[in-house]
Amino acid sequence: MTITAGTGAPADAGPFGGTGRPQAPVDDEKLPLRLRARRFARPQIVIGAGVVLLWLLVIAFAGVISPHDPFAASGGRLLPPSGEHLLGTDSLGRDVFSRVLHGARLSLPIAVLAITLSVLVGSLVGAVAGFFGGWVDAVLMRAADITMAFPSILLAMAVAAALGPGLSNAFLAIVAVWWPIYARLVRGQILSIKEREHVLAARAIGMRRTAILRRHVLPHSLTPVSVNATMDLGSVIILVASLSFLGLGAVPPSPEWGAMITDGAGNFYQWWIAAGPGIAMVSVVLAVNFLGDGLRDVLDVKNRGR
Amino acid sequence: MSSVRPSGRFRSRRGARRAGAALLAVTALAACSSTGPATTDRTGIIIGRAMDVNSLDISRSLCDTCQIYNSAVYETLVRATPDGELDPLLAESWEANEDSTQFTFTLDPDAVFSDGSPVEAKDVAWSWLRLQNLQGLPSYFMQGITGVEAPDERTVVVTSAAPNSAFLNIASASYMGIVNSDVAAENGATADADAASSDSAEQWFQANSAGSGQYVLDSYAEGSQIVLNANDAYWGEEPNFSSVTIKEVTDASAQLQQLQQGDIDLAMQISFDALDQIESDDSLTSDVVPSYNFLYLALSPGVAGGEALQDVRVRNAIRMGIDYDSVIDATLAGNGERQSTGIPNGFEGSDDLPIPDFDPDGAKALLAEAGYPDGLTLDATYPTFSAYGVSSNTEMQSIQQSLAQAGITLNLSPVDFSTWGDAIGTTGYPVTAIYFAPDHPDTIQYFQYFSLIDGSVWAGRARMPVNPEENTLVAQALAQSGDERTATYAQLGQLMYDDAIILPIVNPKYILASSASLQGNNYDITRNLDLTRLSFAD
Amino acid sequence: MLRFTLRRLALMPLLLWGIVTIAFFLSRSVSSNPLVTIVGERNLGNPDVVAAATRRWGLDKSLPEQYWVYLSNLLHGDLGTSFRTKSPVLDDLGTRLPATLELAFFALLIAVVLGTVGGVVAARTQGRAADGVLRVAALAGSSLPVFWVGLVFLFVFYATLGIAPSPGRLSARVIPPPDVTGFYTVDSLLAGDWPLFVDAFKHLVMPAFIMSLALLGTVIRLVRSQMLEEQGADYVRTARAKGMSRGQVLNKHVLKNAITPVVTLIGVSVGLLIMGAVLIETIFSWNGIGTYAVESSRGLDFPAITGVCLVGGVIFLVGNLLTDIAYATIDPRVRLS
Repeated sequence: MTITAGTGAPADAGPFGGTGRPQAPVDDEKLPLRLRARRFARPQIVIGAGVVLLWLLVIAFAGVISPHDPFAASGGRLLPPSGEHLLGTDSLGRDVFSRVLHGARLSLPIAVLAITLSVLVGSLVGAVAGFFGGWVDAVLMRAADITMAFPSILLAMAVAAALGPGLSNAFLAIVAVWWPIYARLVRGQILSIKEREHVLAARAIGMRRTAILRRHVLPHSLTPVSVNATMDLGSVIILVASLSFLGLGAVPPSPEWGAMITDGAGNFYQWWIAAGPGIAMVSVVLAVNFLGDGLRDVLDVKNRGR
Repeated sequence: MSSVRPSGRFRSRRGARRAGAALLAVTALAACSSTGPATTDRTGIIIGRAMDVNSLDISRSLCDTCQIYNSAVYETLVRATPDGELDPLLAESWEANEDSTQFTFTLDPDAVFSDGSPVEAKDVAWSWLRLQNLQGLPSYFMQGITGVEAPDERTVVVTSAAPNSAFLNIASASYMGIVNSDVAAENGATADADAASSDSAEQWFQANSAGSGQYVLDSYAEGSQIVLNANDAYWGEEPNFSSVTIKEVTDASAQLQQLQQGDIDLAMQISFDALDQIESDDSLTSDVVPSYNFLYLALSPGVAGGEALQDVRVRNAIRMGIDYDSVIDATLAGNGERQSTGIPNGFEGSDDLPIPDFDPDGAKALLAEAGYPDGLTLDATYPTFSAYGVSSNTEMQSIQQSLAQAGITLNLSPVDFSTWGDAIGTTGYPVTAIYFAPDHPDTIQYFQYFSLIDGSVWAGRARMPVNPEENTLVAQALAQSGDERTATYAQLGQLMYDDAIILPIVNPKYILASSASLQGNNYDITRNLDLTRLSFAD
Repeated sequence: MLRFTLRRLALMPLLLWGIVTIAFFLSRSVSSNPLVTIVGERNLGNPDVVAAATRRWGLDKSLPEQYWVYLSNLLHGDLGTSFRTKSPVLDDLGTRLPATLELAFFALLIAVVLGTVGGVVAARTQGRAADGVLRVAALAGSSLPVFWVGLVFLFVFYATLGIAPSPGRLSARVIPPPDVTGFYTVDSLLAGDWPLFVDAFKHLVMPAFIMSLALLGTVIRLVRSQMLEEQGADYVRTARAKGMSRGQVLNKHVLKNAITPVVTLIGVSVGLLIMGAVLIETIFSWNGIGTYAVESSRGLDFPAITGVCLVGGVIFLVGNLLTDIAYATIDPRVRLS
């Protein structure tokens, strides 16, 4: 989960307002596209996006670039890394390198899907709560509070245990854990925007609430939500792997990275079995976090530079 | 927020630096500390294994670790030797009547419990009746027994409704150990008919033992360790250890690490992949011995999805389509044996039974004959487990690979144990995999569990009709003894093989791994690890 | 202040009830039957044993009835009896919780101390190499899958180099200290047993460090960014204008204000630490709540599962509350919002 400091104190306000540092214009929609795009050319974003792109290519072409079939034995068991098997073989003689490549097809899309669904469900709940207020808001936010009060791994474990093993169930478990964050985020956005002048003006001229939602609220929410989602992606990838590690996610012979690490833990001295998926996961999560960090620097002025 | 008063928790960076320095100092001190902490003395043994304890109440427990505990702390009337004989223990002599419906035991007058009180016939009767009436996990050991009498202090008379020639073997099982009835009754235990609801001693047993064995329970930290101390009042040969610690070390590689580092003296579940490492380490000894455990596939023709299995040719084809050697290689690095049917190699009656071979072409031919010339697809659902060195996932994936060569597509669905257990008795699974370990040295347990007879667990699960011939033979065997019985057992074994409901995949060997200072490491049917044969070499 | 606290406290029972209810119903799920754990595979087909077990554990009652029984027991402080351990869940938790808390405490300590130092160094060397390295390291800390890192550390430092002690709270034959708090470090000091303290401490280092990694990264970044922001603040410029050196300003004013969000972090991090506990305890054979949670969920031991979720929820909520109180005390604007 992304941790943002504080519960609302505006950290950048000095005694007379303003931090004394020069700030970029908040509303840069007036800048030409070319200049706006230039802002994204920071090293973090470039490196992060580059690695992510690389993995996307792996996902697309895993079948072609894998030297061996990830599901069938292609050599002796527990062989150390060699020219033939770049990351050695596992306890069933399967090529670890090929399994890592194919594992990307499982670990990454599932995480993206989980985040997307969490964002959609959460945003919907948050929007409804923020907009309608009153008891609807109270009930929905209490539900969110209860879900958030649950230590996330325990809730994920409980849901996964209830539904049984399998990646699709792990995915549902994650959505169940993650939606409140976006619910609160979007609700917060709505609450803050509700009182802004242009919204009040729109209401004054009689614009319907749903139209206001569409035209004013959602675009403004997009930035913090997308930044948050990118930062959360890494955590979700790890959570999926953690659930598989505990036996609650992917099932064999699936080459999901967390499940592979469990195998590796069982064959401790054959370090390559756990090293491959581990390093792969670290590289993806790091890249995604870099990307998210860089995006936040660019897009989210308030939290810039953290 | 803007304040020019210098204050606050961390006064300055110096504060943080000081904290860091303190941390460093403690660590340095820790590293150079010359005297270690107080330790248990070296005449105590530490055994590392994954503890699967479901209870420390002997009449409610059923697990491998429980067998070690029960036989260390409690004693049975007779003791099973490695050669399949029965030696006296709490009973100095015994006899059965002609048709094996009545058994009389005479107790050893020297036997005393850990509190000094003598082991009397009433304790035997109480313990065995409690076992029966609690209807707990091991209650089936007392199946068919209609009475346990104590006519005098040293005589026990057991009556069985039907002939039960296996009873003496059954009496050697660790769950048939004798409890100090006075002490246990004081703490809520009862042997009455309604014990299932009135007995309240289980929690007391989690912290206390009341037996006559070489050791007594010192402490039990669930999920962590069981500590036993030598019984000072033991009536027989002095225990070899001053204390026995069974330590939870969950997986095989952790056990190897700890064995090598000297943190445990004996590891019970080392994986075969680690054998080379142990053999090359001079501070460790190891040996590979046969075991009586086996893993098997169970076919259930009578459940939904199993229709194709109704034809015995299909079942035989499956048996022929498994590359046993390849599976044994994948799961145990080759350290296992093939087995004929649901009787472990070496048990009475198993000697000449046919061993299955891998014959994919023969399998295909049989399938074609049975009406599946293009092969067959089956769903296999099995619990995720790791037992006796074999991972169920590895096992099933390997089976899947070889069956594919015989034209059989196996769809694998691993589930967790609870899900599996829930379904296996209700909706059932057409193909599943599980394992079996012996409870006691008599082959009859396998027929009672696997054969197509009345009351057999797998006959029920597979929804197969009972085979009257097998019924008759089982009743017959229970009334026989000696060579006659062995011959009947052999017949029953052959019939079980022909039924092809139970397909054993592998009979794993067992690694005895310990520090070189230990001698007598062993594998035992009723005790798992017989502590009386184990000792530190001088 | 009081109203703020009271309002929050009043909400807690509601949230806890929600947690208990969700945990209760989740764990008695559709597809599995805890009876399997209780009676084992061998006895599944034995109707007498199954019936006896069903009665004994109250599983013959309807679900709402079971829920009602559970809730009424809960109000009397009885969390039920675990199917696996056969002991009261409260006892189990009492044994296991200190182990996890001890680990979490040291993890927190490491994260705060090392993180603050790192953040300060990064802020002071802003723009230079050290800053860049620290920022990347901080990001890496939050990106590492904790269970994998644990395995790597174990492999390198324990199995290969032999400098780390074996997984577990104490060395093999060491006798634990007499139980006062359940914290081996505290109890050994209370018993005056210095070598025992050292042993317990040595075993804590690696798992606590790994547990702190996620938090460490965040603390570094937070402290750094707070300090950078403070540096630009007007009061700082005033102090500099008055002639205070950069170092003095940093140490006296900026750091204190920079620490504030770290306090916030402590409360929020409770959730992270619990998550880390589950995975790290599994790898390091730590007999805490984490392993208890995993074992209970595997065996569908629902009194235990519900108990763990309850305890986890309480810790989480109390942590949040304390943080909010601390934050409100420091920054009055929060209180009034």
